[in-house]
Amino acid sequence: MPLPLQDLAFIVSDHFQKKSIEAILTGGACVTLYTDNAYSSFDLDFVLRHYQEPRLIKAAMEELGFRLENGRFIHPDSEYFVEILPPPPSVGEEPIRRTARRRRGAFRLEMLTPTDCVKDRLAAFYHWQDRPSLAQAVLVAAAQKIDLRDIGRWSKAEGMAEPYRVFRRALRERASRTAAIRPRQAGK
Amino acid sequence: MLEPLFDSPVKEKALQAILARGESYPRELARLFGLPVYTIQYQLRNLERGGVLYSRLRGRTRLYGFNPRYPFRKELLALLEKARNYYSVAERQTWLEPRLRPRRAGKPL
Repeated sequence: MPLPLQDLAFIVSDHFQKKSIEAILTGGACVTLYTDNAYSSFDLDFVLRHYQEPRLIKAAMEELGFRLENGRFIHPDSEYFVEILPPPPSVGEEPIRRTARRRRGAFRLEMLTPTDCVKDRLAAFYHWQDRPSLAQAVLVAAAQKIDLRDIGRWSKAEGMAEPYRVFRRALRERASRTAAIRPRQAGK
Repeated sequence: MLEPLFDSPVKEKALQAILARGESYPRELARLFGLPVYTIQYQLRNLERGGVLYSRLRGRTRLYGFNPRYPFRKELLALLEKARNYYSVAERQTWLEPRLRPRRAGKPL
């Protein structure tokens, strides 16, 4: 049976840490992890903290059984592929300073914080008008504790105050839909 | 102009031409600079891999533009804009100041 995306994320991230390759899980895979599979990603995007020789990355991935094909790593036993993105880790114009660290058994995973994950998705919505990215931002914001004030500040700094209002509206609409379908105790 | 910074003059020219046009494709740039298409493709792919450019398919043509999510975009564009002032008039006319308004089919030049 193929490995779930979450397991693969832990395996690759932990392997990178053992090899002293500093890379942060970003993109749609973070949405999958933060929403407990409410959104399915088919790739794992790791962004490097610093420049690394491509041959070192390739060698590390080959140790896990991946092979490089058209700029992405594929594994014969996995439906997911892994992409390594160039440094620096950033959301829009701002560098990523804090990351989230998770542990599962012996495996460690370094990934975007929920707040940066929302910003990452919003950046795609802001710059490409990509509605699925907006939906993913809303999913994460609804499922995790996030710093909305910081996201508002960042959006403004990106020159995206108006699209940020679209996000807030979508978040409110989701909250009201969720409240409407939540069972209510009789007499409450 | 920026050859000491960019490892290839083709890369600088390609970036300037894309900046002037918003988006461009390898064959257009190859024609503009009188270079083989694969030389341009090689540089554009490297720039895309580095996150500087994005690419998208329009029909059968792959268009390249500046990636709005590249963290140094603003600074890079400012550098390229400044370098434009130092090109010759001929260079500016051939690849920095393209005609962007539409031309009706069949209209004489």
